[in-house]
Amino acid sequence: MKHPATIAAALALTTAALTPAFGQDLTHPAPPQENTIFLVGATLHTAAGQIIENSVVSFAEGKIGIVGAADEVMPRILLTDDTEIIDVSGHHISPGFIGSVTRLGLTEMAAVRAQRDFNEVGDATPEVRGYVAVNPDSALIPVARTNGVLTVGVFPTGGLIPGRASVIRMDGWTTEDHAIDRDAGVIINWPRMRPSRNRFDQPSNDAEERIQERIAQLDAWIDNASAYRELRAADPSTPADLRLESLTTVLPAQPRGQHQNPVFINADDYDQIVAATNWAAGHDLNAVIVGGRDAAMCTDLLKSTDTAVIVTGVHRFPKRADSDYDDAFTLPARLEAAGVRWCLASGAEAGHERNLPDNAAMAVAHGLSPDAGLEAITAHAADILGMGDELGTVEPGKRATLIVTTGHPLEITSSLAHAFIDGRKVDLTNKQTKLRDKYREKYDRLGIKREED
Amino acid sequence: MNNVYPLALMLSAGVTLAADPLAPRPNGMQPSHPSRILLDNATVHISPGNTLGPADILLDNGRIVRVAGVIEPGQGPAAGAKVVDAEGLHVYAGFIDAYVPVDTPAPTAGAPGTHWSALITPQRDALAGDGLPESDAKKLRALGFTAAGIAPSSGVFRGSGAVVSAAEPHDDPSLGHLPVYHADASEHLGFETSHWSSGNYPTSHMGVVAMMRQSFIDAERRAGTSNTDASCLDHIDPDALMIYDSVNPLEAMLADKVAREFGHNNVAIVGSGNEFKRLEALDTAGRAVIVPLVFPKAPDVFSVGSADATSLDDLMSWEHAPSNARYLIERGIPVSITSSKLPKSQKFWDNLEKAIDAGLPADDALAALTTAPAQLLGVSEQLGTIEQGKVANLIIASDDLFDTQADATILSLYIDGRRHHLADPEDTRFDGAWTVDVVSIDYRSRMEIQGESITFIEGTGENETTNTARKVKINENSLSFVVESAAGDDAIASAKLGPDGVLRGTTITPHQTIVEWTAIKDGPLESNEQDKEDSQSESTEPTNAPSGAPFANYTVAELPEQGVFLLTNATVWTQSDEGILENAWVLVNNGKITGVGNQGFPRIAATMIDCTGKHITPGLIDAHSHTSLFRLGVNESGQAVTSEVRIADSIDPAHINWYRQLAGGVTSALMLHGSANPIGGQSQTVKVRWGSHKPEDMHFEGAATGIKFALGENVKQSNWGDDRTTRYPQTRLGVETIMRDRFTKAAEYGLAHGIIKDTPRSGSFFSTQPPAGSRTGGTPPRDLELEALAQIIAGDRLIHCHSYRQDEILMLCRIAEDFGFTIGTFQHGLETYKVAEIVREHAIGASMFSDWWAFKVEVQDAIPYAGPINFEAGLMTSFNSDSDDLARRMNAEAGKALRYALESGIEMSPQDALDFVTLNPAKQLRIDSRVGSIEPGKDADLAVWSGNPLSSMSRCERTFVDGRQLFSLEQDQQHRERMRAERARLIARVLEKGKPEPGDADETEPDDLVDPGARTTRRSLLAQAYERALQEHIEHGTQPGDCGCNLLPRHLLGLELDN
Repeated sequence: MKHPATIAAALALTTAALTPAFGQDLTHPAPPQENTIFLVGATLHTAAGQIIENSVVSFAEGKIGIVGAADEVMPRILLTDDTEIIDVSGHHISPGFIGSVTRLGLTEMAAVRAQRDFNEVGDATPEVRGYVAVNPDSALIPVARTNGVLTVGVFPTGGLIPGRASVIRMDGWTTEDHAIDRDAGVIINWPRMRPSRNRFDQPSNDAEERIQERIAQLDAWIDNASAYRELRAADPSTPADLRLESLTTVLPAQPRGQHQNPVFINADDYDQIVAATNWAAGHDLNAVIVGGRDAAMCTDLLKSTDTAVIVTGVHRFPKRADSDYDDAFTLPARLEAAGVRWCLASGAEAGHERNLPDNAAMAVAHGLSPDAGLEAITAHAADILGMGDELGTVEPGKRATLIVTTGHPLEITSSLAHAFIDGRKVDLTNKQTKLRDKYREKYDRLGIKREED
Repeated sequence: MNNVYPLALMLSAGVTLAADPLAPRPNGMQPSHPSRILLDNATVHISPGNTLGPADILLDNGRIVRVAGVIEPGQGPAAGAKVVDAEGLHVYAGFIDAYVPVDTPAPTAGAPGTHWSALITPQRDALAGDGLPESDAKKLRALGFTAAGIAPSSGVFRGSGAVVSAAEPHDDPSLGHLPVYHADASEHLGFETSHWSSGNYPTSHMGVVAMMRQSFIDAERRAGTSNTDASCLDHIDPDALMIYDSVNPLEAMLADKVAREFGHNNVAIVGSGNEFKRLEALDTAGRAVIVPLVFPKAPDVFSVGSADATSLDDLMSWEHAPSNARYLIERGIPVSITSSKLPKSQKFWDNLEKAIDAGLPADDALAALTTAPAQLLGVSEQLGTIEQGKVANLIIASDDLFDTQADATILSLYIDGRRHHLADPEDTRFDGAWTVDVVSIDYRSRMEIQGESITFIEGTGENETTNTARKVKINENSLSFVVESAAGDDAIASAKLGPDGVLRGTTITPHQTIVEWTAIKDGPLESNEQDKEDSQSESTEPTNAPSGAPFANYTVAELPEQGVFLLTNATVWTQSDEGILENAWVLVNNGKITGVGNQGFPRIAATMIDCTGKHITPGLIDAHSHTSLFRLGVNESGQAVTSEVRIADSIDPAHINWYRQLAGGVTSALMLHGSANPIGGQSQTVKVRWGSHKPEDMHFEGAATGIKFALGENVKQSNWGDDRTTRYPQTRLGVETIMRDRFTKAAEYGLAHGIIKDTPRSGSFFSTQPPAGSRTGGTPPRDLELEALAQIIAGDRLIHCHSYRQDEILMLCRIAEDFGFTIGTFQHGLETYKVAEIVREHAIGASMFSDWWAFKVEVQDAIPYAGPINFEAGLMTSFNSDSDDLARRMNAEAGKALRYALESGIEMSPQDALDFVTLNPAKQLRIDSRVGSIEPGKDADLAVWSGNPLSSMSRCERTFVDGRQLFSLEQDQQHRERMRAERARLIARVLEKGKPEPGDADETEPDDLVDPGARTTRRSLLAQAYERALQEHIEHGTQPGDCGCNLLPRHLLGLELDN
């Protein structure tokens, strides 16, 4: 995700045919929640502004019921036979992490062409949806899950309009089990606004024109979709166009009861962010800037247009050699201080999504508060993906998608004691833990161990 | 046309030549024109700093005969001389361009005596082809150059160069060839690689340098014996002037390094124009530099986005480049100025004037164009000054060429005594304000003439109207033009200036009306003075040469002191038996740790640093780094075995990622060759000494030497594309055999050379060898490839082997066993956890990614538990970065060791976890006697953390290397303030100068990049995609998972292959 254009170009041009290798995980999906579960005794990070020591969280039928302090709540509770109380004292509870921008499920091993399902042919392919090809047996999914990533956005990539994002839960038998929101918004790759400074790109006299042409293409897609919707409303026998149809969910003036989906616009550079934000406002679209490297340069603009920013990771390099060395690390703290609506994605390859909380922790090391760091990968990520009503915090009524960790949820040395997705207790083993157990057994049998020094 | 002389030559300087035995006899009349010329009454710039004037110069037969205040014409040596009136003119010695690359025929491949590599052609001769083509000579003459040091233009050993005349060739062949002033002036070298797409050795700079070394060694050996066979290497003369072409200062530094290794003292560098970025390094090298006048254009800072994207380096380069030559001269480096390498959009004299305006003294400029190149190329006896006996190569200029206000023009050149006309003196006889009278109709008007611009002005003030003439022609005293008449017709006018100063003219209209008129000059035009003042205001104070290192970014003006520091009240992770000490102190003195404890700190005069609430750890050690290598190449992918190349030749101490890693607490790193080859290049252990001028300044003194090996997909080219299927090996089977083959050869070689002692050795190989003393067949020639491999067997060089799968890991262990050596590390070694009990017997340890996986087939079984399992099984393991990004947060990688151990119920202490990035890599690199723990006597390489170093929420706040505080948040703040102020000042300066002309494309090299495909003409889309990716690598270094396999077009990965 670091250099989307390069990657896309490289992948599009790569023709090496490789023997497919199958990432296959044999972990079983969790059964539906049957009993009411009480988690008692942990430090609870609600990601909604509260930290409760010695807390209690209960959930039933996949939804959170009670949230409070154990010594206040527990004496007033009548426990029934089918109530399961889990003592989690000494641990921490937080909402499950949300990897807002990923390719999880659409790729297994990046080197294997057969395992890349994220870049459809064509410059504008809004009709494709991320969840459709999520491989439920991907070995990558349980690995990310073991580290607390319980919900992710699945984003197709490449071209001007790569497709539509989906939001999936990290557990299920089928793609449909995984899908929470199949159509979470349309993805746009904003064109580069300045001719490249890269010496390897041949400078061209019509660079400016080409940029304008790209933006005009985006205008045309939105205008066409709008006209198409109007025509279809006026005359239902107007021939269908699936591509335009797929864009109508992001248009203003949605039919009653339907909310307007966001456009996720990949833009890192100042000029891109400014142009994209203004463009979206001009079309009355709900813009979310994805990338956002230079977002701190235009926070007033972002706020005045209520444009949210998904920062795709802090493990990035500063823009210039003379930029502050910690420029990328401090970006979240700067956006937070400015009051911009933002969240944090990992920016990592799919296999490394498990390190999402490390990004938040790095931001915390560089000026962000730990609470804001946690919210950036839970509550705020849910909001920006349009799932804020259901996910992202530990509050009554929300989906019981949460984790119990051995230490502070962002701390790298913490690991998961439990994870629940919609109240279902998920399996925390994965292919990697099984390999671990296999070879530890080998050394156990051989009697091999380290000599104490 | 054959025997018709150009008029100018006939009139001025027919040359009488001694019969040239190489020239044919004349086919007709034999001309014998007088050749004496007396330049009369000129300002004569005899040599830099020595001007005589007015003075006369007498030329005869192509030589300068006399220079004196007055030489009487018609007498003595001046008898019969043609007198040229040079009053008011300036005369300079003809300029010499010390570096003019020319096309030279390449030797036929495979011919006797040729080298297998087409890049090694020391036998080439710049004179063998067309020499200096007239088309090039003409361009040189237009700039004032009369002689050129021509050089074969391509290759590594390029061949010999010559100093030749830039005169126009004679039309009459009987007059002979143009003079060659020095037929064998120089040997030329350059760092030319094969294009990456060819896959031919060498694809990298380190490959080029290795080839240079081997060639010098081979040439030396041949020189010491009598040979009658053919070898191009016999053309390599260690005492000759060796001129290395460089496209950036890193190459210049490499040239100096190679020259020092071989004791070559007579070495010069053709610069890039960027020398100002590495002045101190080049100063210590002290080599003469031939400087091109390549100046970057003003950066585009005319929008918020583009201003913010403009680097400080670009801004500073724009300001400093015009002073490049001056900075070098100020440091006493001999400088010649060349017109070569100039971007198409730039003009030599424009830039020379910019350099002078930026403070280059006129005498230094003249010297850099005359005496300095003459001396460098060994032609001082003949060229460079206006002195008796020297070749009559002169520049005749209308004014002082080096006075940028003077508007001087080069009017003509004398080359070998022959006049070459360049421009007429500017004709100003008509310039001025005139009053025009038409007597017949009693009409009066004003006329202003400036050069070829004629304007008629009628009326005054508000009623003033102007009428500009067209088609103006001025020839001597005649003038003609077309002007619109009052009736709106075009009238044609012609006029002639009489000896009385009256201009008498006639105008004829389309209706054939004829009007006669006269004009009288009233005086000069008024506006001229104003122009001059404007242009004067442009010159600014000369800038000071940039000092410190590196250029522009986080520059260290002066290396901080190795003082006495006492860090107190900290939690100290000693990584020794002392464990983790609370409320403890560390004493640093003169670069070493001299004490550590938690009982009341010593009373000593020291800089006290209160570390309350902080943690102190040893500086982190990254056992797998490619930082800064991408500019010059990280892989020599031209061959499967490249143990002769040295990664040290690729290191750039100025790369910004060093600073970023230092700010993450990293103080030492193992620099590794990539993994394109089963047997890669030699590694280099460095300390992160930010502020180093030279790559060598970063070398970890006394560190064990190492070498990169690689196994699996990369070396068998699995991911390089379907067309790469011919290089051995293509399977893991072949990887084993090529290694056994080379080790066998290396063992034989090492025994013969005494690198491997002939004593009884372990390993099955040696049991099959003849007993000591019974070896037959002499010592083979020195071979850098086998030498490095023999050192491995001898135990003097550690293998660091890129590896993934357990089968291949086991395979290398068995080879090590058979040849009786211990492996350094299995790098990545992702499946060492499956064979830890064997690896621990044959290698010092494993140096791994903490948790990378899933990017290619052979990493399917990589698991984050591998480090903890190895730990539990007694296989010493470190975590490395292999990534410029990850290297900024290696402390958190140690945190992962602890996390995955605890998650698995593996007993590991926090100190054990931190060992993964401190003591363990130190042991694996055999530098643990110096670094890796906080113990008295060790180097004071320390990192101070805001909290627990294993926490991803802690940050590094200070870093010491060798007891110097090279990073702290306070120092960093100072850097930021300086850089911001400098940016602001320079952006303001650019804005002041106004917007650049549209279409003024910047053709200079941005920064000092190497273009690996500089000589390709057609770039495919694929190549562009690759090159964009390469650019990303140059700027940002490696990224998790992309240093080789995932993100680049696979079959183009030759240069970047790793992990």
